[in-house]
Amino acid sequence: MSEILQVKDLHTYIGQFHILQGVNLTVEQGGVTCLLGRNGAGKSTTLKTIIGLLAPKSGTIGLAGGGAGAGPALTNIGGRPAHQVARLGIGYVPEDRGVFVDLTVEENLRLAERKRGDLAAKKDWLVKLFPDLERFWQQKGGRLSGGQQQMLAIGRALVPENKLLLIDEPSKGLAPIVVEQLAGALKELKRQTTIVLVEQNLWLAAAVGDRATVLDDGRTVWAGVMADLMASPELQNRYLGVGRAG
Amino acid sequence: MSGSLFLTLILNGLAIGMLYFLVAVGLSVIFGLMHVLNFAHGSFFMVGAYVGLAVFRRFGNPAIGTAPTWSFFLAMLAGALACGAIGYVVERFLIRPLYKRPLFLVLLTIGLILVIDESVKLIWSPNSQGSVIVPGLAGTVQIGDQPFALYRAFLIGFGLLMMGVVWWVINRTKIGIIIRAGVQDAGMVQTLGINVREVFTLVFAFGAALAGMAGMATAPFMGVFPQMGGEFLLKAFIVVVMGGFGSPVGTALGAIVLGLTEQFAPWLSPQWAGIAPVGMMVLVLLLRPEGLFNLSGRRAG
Repeated sequence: MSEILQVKDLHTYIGQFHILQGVNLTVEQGGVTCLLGRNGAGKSTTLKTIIGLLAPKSGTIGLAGGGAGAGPALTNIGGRPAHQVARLGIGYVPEDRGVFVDLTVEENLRLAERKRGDLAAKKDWLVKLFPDLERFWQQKGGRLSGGQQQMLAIGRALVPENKLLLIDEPSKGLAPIVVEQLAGALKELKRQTTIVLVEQNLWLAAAVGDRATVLDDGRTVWAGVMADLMASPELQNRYLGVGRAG
Repeated sequence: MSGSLFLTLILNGLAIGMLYFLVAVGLSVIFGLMHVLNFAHGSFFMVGAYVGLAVFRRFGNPAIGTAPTWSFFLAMLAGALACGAIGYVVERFLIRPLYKRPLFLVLLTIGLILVIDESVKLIWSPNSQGSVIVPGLAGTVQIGDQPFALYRAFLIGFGLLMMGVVWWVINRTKIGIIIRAGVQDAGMVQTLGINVREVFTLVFAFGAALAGMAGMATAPFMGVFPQMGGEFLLKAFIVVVMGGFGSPVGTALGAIVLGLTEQFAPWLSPQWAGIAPVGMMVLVLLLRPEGLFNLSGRRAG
């Protein structure tokens, strides 16, 4: 299987704080790669550095087809501004969902169009995946529930043709039943695109994840198949803190 | 108070309110989107008046301060285009490198006031320019027993038209969606593949153009003089603080409230009329500390 993203020895500072101190992450084409770790391990910072909201101090972020040609060779996109990274086909769903509260659902989705007609072409598929979006089409984003906002945030990342989605802790603050719906949607999505999923909810990560990379103190400490991590209480205990990180 | 006087005061308040709206809307959206408090905005307004006046006079008789009516509209367009171009250059080459240094931005825009104001004095003289008479919009209409200047009626109509245009752009176009979203969280907009910096430049230039257009629109109303920028900047700040940063609807409301306050205050209490605008601002802030329609600072959630 070919790699779509390869992050090597990534170092990122926020102000004077050295947050990422050597993150390595390989994402293969298709499926879900989970990025796991305790609070403060550097998961969200990794996604922000990949999308271009934070500039790396050193290291590389190789994206397949990120260069002028559309070939499979990896091109270093580290340090490029976010809008350029996004236009290479990367969708980003931040931890706070990034829903614009004064824009309607339709306007939130239209904002993500890279060319006229993107939304019209995807609308039927999107509302089938997330039926609430159609029900609240003309409602302001701020009037949606947390779960509906999450559906909108993910739906928005699907409006353009993205080859890679970076989704930051989508289950945060959601009721268990909504998390189950989310798992169903992510399973459907991973058949069509590649997803990097930051998640504290180990149940959701296990339900949808194919591979996993674990960070601790800003460094990659483990990478492998999700099933291996789930089968090893010792690994879970060492890196995630059993019962807490779950 | 007679009914016709009451109506005349309202119409006068609306007319001046429309000018305040044109100046303040750019200031408001620029701050809401980019967090730049542009102290030079009043200078754009003044430059618009001077450039417009130069165009107006080219087609008429400077001695009596009049020219064909059509040249007045051309002059407003010229004022807008000149200030739009200046705004583009200022944002692109002076402000953009300083976005991460807000204090430097304040100093820059204050410095720009000095540069622009002194340049205008060098080019056109420090003295007040003569009167500006637009033949097609001169004269008065009678409202009951009160005369009402035709030009002020024009200002109300033109202001409403421009409010409509701004409302349409903000609420019905993709660029408007980007601006409203950017006011909440410009970084998030960027992650959707939109070059927010280009939008910043466009908005800054458009805001400056509206201020320049307002400058020429003010000329027949109160003349053209170097200090007009400072006077209107203060009024524009009051409008924006009352209306809420980043909201064109709030700006429209704030501008009308200020215009009406200025008209009614002298009639209600002449000795307090001077501080009535600031008093109204304080009252609005006491009742709604975030302004009438604040969008800025609301995070995407």
